[in-house]
Amino acid sequence: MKNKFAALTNPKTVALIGATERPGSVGAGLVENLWSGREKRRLFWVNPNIDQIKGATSYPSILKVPQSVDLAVIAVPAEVVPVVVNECCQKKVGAMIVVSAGFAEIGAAGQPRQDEIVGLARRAEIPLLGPNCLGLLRPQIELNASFAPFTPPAGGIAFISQSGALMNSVIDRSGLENYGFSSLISYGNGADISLVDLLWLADRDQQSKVIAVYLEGLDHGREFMEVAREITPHKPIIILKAGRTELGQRAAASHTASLAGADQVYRAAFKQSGVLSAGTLEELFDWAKALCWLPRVKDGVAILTNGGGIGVLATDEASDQGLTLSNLTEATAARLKESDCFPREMVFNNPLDIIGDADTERYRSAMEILLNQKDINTLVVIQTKQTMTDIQANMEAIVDMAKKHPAKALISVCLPGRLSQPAINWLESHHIPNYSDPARALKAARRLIY
Amino acid sequence: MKQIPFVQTMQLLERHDIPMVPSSVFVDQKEAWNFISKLKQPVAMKIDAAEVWHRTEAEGVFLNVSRKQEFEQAWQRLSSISEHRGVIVQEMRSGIELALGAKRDAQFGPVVIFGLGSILIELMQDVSFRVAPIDLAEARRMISEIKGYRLLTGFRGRPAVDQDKLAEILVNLGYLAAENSEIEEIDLNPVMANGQRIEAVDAKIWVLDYEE
Repeated sequence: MKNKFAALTNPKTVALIGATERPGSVGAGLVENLWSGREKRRLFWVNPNIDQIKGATSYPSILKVPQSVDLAVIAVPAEVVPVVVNECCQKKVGAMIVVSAGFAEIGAAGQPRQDEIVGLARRAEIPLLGPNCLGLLRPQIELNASFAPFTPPAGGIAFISQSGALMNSVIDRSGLENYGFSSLISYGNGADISLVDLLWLADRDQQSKVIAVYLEGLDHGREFMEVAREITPHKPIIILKAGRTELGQRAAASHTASLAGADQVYRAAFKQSGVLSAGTLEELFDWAKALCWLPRVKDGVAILTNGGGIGVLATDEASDQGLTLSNLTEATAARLKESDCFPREMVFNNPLDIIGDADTERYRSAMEILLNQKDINTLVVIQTKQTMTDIQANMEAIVDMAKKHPAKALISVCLPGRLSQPAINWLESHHIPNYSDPARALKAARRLIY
Repeated sequence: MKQIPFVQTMQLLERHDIPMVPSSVFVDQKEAWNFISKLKQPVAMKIDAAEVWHRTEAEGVFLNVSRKQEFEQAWQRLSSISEHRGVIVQEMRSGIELALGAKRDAQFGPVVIFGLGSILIELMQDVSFRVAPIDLAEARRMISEIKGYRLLTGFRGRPAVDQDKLAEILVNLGYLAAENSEIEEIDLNPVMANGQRIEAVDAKIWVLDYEE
C-alpha cells in the first residue's frame, strides 16, 4: 500500500507560506528550522509582501512557485488560511501543515473556518495536519517543519502531541537528556489527520521503537482502540492523558454509572488495547527511554546495590509495582561464595548488597553471576557515590554486561551529580537508561514486562 | 432519561442470560396477596415507577414482608407514589452485595462497570471498567482489579463467589449494552452473590426517552 502521507513525512520540496525574517515571529522560526535542512530538499518561500528571504525569491503566491510542491506549510493569519488552502489545492501539493491558530479551538467563531479548510483538503484528497499546531519534525532526515526552538537529536521515540506548547518544552528538555526522536508531531485540532493516522504512521516508521503520546481528548474511541490493539503487540504505545479530574459530560442517573467518569473510561480503553498509561510527563519519557533502548522481558528482577537503604527503597517499589524479586538459586549463591571478590560479612540475598566499599570488580562479578541465573530477566544496578566508587568504570562494566546478555534488561540507578553526570551521559549514549531514583527505575522496569 | 418498566428490564436480562431473583410485578392488590400467601416465605416489595431513581430514597422498598397487615401497609404506601406502574414482589436473598452496571460513554460507547455493592460502591468508589463487549478473560481481569477482591475469594469464612459465573454475567451484560444502542445506563445494584448463586436483586435500565 502506498503511503499517502509520504509528502508530509519525507517531502522533497517544501513551500512555506507566510515566510518572513521578522525576528520573534512564527514565520521566522519556520524559516530557520526549514533552512537547517536545505541540503536535503528544495525550499520555496511564499510571501507577497517580501521580495527575498535568505537570498532567494519570495513568491507572491504558491501558484507562482515554478516547481511542484510536496509539502506546503501555512503560517498566515487565520482569515487568510482558507484562500491559501484553496490555492494549495489548485497547486496540487502533496500535503499541508496549517500552523495558524484561530479555528475550532476558539469556539463557534473558528469552527466554520476549520470546516471550510477541511472540506477543501478532503475534496482535493490532500492530507492536512493541524490547524493550530506546532508542526512536524524528523531529526533523522533533517526535516524541521515547525517553529520549535531547535531540532532535538534523532533517536527511537515517536512523540505525538495534541499540544504544541508542551512539545516545545519536551524539545527544550531533550537538550539535557540522552534520548532522541524518530519524529515529533503536533497535530493541534486534528481536523483532518487524526491521532489514529499518526499512530499508524509511527508504526510504519522503522526508526521509531516506541510511541509516546500527549493526549487531551479523542473523537473516535473505538477506531483508536482497534489501531492501538494492532500496534501494541509489536511496538509499545505510552499515553499521558490530561484531564484526570474532568467530570463526565453529563450527570449519570444511576450511581454505578456516575462512577465511570470520562477519564476512567479512557484508562479502561488504554488497558484493553495494551496502551501504557503514564501519570506524569516524567513517567512518559522515563518509560519511553526504557522501552526504546531495552528488550521487553518476562518478570524476574534482581537488585544490585552498594547501599542497604536504597536497596530497600528499590525493593518496596518493586513490590508496589507487582514485580517479582527472583530468589537467588543455590547455584547462584554458591558462585557468589566461591568468588573471592566479596567480603566475608556479605549476605547473599536479592537485593544483593555488595557494601559501600564495592569496587568495579565486585560490581562486575556480581552482575555476571546474577545475569547467569535464568529467571533473572531485569537487573537494576544501584550506585551511591562513595569514596571508592568509580562510577565511570562501573558504567563501563554495565555496558559490557548488557552486550553479553542482550535478551536481559539492565537499568542503572545513580543520582546525577557533578561527579556522576558525565558517566551517566556515557552510559546512556550506549542505550542503558539511568534513573535518579530507584522508584523511577522500577516503574520503568515494570513497563518492560510483557 | 427514562427508566423502562421493570417487566421489560426482566425480559431483557433474561434474554441475555443475566440471572435475576424471581420477581413478579402486580397492579392488582388481591392477586399480589394471593401470590405472596402461597410462597410461604417473606418477600421484598418495591415500587416500579418511571420517575423514581432510587427506590429506597423514595420510600419505595419494603423488606421481609410476610403477614397480611405488613403487606397491606406496604401496598398502600407503594400505590401512593406518583406515576407508579406496579408493585414488584421478589424473593429475599442474602450474600455478598455486588454492583454491576453499564453506561454509554461519549467517546467509547458502551462501558461495563463492576464493583462491590451497597454503600461500599459509594464510599470506596471501588469499581473497575471496560469498554464493551468484553470476553471472559477481560471480565476475569476486571473482577480481580477491584481493591475489595479478597471479599470474593472466601474472606473470613464467607462463601467464595463463583468467579467464572460472575465473569460470564459481566460478558453477557457487555453484550446487552453493546447490542441495544437505545440503552443509556444499566444499574444492577445490588447483585447478591452466595457461592454459585449470583442474582440481580434490583435492576434499572434507562433509555433516552420512553413512551408509557
